[in-house]
Parts: sequence; structure tokens; C-alpha cells
Amino acid sequence: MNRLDGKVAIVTGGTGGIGQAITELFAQEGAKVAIFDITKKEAAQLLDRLGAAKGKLKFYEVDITSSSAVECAVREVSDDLGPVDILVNNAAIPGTSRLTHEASADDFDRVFAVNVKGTFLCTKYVVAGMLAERRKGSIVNISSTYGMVGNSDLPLYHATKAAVIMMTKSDGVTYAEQGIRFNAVLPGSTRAPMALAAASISAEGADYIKNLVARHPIQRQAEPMEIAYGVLFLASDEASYITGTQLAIDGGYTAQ
Amino acid sequence: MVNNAGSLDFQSFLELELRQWRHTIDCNLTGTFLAAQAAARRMIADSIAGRIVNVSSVHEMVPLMDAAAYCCSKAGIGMLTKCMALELAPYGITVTAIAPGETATAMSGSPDESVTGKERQWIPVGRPGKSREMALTVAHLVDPETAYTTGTTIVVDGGLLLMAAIPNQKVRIAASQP
Repeated sequence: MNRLDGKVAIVTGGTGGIGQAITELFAQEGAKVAIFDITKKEAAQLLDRLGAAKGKLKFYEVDITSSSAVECAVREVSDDLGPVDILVNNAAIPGTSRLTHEASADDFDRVFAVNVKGTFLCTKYVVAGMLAERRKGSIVNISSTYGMVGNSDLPLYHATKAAVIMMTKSDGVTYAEQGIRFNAVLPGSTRAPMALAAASISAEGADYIKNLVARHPIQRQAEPMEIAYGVLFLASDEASYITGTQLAIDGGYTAQ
Repeated sequence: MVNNAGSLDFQSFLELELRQWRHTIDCNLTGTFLAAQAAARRMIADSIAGRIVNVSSVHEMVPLMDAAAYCCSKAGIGMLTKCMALELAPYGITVTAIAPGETATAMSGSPDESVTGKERQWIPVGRPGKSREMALTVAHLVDPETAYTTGTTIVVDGGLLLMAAIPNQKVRIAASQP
């Protein structure tokens, strides 16, 4: 129950499907959690739902694509909760389902802004804080099985998630000496709002999730909490020798 | 079911005898196959949604000098993990693996307690792993909450696998300096 006892964690996209599970589990395991998101209403509902853990949670309304907003929010977290030990770069959008020859430059910029630039900015300011205070830390980036394998439903999303994997590896090498670990979690299709959003823009329509599940050896979607447990492990000191690697939680999707 | 038993003997490829090759493959790969198959059959007979964790090695992905049989046995375990995961998923049995890097054990010739004092230039984390760190990873993979993780290998190597291009980079930088 105390796997993150005394730690301070930032979870971006903390009011989304997987983000809520991570936030809930981290608080349950003893961490103080700063939720970064743009969804004020959902944040209020989440804080209400997690009543008991409420004292350990704090919502920050922050657009992670803005450098100044992220810099300011990270500083506020340190002031409010203490120095940051853990960052989970979870916020992401599926972006357009238009194929490469149909997608616009704006489509590209939007999905890269949230998924890649947002991950970069949060990492940049959190790591700068860790280095300044000479503190060890753990960064967990939520990539996707779609960062490892191709498919034709969300081409730009695939590219963003592959970028996140390479950022994880490079930063893993770079900051190992300072005791800051970087790892990526690769969820398969998960029973969360993003999968529904992807289904809603898919040409397959209502069959999108059914068809996707059919390609998973474990014939169902992941539950958000199953992803959160992988994130918890990598964020915790139990994973002290693990850096620069990827953990697929995908029901066997990428084993095929 | 944790398939942890393994054996490592060094012998150059040119000198490696069939007897030595067979010993390593039998112990590491065939042993894993036999034990996992027996366990899976029993789990299915007893309707148990069991967990099988195979202890592979970073050498399922990168070679080691004078250890062809060992590396091949570990590469085999990597693929066996995937094949078993695929075939056993319908029974609710998950099959995963961990790939340790250098670990301070008898097999690597270093006692467990000396870990923190060992400087390792080619491991980003700067030290070998501890047995306990491997055990905690296995414990994660058999946790009741991780039933959606199957067919995958967790690398526990302090970043060792990320270093492939670094020695050459250092040589080039050194050569370019006056």
C-alpha cells in the first residue's frame, strides 16, 4: 500500500481514462499527486470521486503545449507539494485519422504539439528541477503499441508515439548518471475515452473496437487500472535498475 | 511458474563442442520448454489462470563473445515466451519474460553485496543490477493486477542495451581531437 510513500508525482492528462487510474493508484500508494490537465470540470468530479485521497491530490489547469505554462506549473507543484520525484507524461490526443496524403500540416502540428512537444516540455522542466536539487527521479512516458507497430488508422499518432519511445531511450542514457530513470509504457487498446474517440473518427465506425480486440490474443481491451499498475512499478523504487526500456501492456498484441 | 534456472559457459565459437552446445541449450531452452509445458498443462487441467515468467537475458538481443550457445538459448527463450503467450492466452495464462543485464550473482562472478561499489563505464546507471531488482520485476509480472501483460519482455539492465553506438562515438570524438 505504500509503494510511493512520501513521493511527489505529476500526472499529465490526469483526468483522462488511464490518467485517472494512475492518479488514483498513486494516491492509494502514498504519493502526493499533481494533476496536469485542461479539463476543470472532470478534475472536480475526479477529486470528488476520490474523496478519501483528496488531501493528496491537487489539480493544475495547464496547457502542456505552452512552455511558459508548464514552467510555471512545475514550479507551483514544488512550492505546493514539495520537490517532484515522479513525472508521468500521460496526456495525449489521437489526432486525425486522415491518411498521410490527406492530412494537413495543421493536423500534424496539433498531434505533435500535445503528444511530443508536451512530453518534451514537462520532462524539460521537471528534469531541470531534479538536477538543480540533485534529486533522483523517475519519468514514465505513456507511449503506445502504436509507437512500435504500424497501422493505417491513425498514421500521425503512430509517429508521435514512436517519437516518445526514442525520447525515453535518449533521456534514459543521458540522465542515468544523475539517477533519473526514463521508461515507456505501451498500452494496447484500453477501455477508456481515447479508444472511443479513435473509434468515432474511424472509417470502421462501431466495429473499430471489436475489430481491434479481435487482433489481441487476450480477447478484450485493457482496463485503465491494468495500465496504471505497470506505470506504478516503473515509477517506484522497485524498478531501480530499469531505464530506457519499454513495457508493453497489450494483451499480447505486439507478441504476434 | 518462474523459469529461472540457467547455465553459462564460455567457449569460442570455433572451439565449441556439440556436447557443450547441447548442455547449454538443454539446460536453458529445453528445460524452460519442458517445465513451462508441464506447468501449463497442469494449470489448464486445474482451470487456473496461471502466470509463467521466463528469465531471459539482454543476450537474447545482443551477442556476447564466446557465448554462442548461451545467447542462442536466450534468444530462443524470447521467442518461446511470445509463442506460449499466443497459445496460452485463451486459457487466461500469461507468459512474460525479464531480460537482466549484468547482475551481481555467482553466475557473473560477483557477490551480491558488492553492487554499489562497482563502477561500470558502459552501463548508464553505472553499476550491475541486484538480484532483488530482478526479483521485484518478476513479482510485478505475477501480480494479480498485471493480467493484461503477456508476451512481452521487461529489460532490467540499467540502460546497457542503449549503449550500442557509444564506444564508437567516443573513439571518433577522441580521434577528432588534436
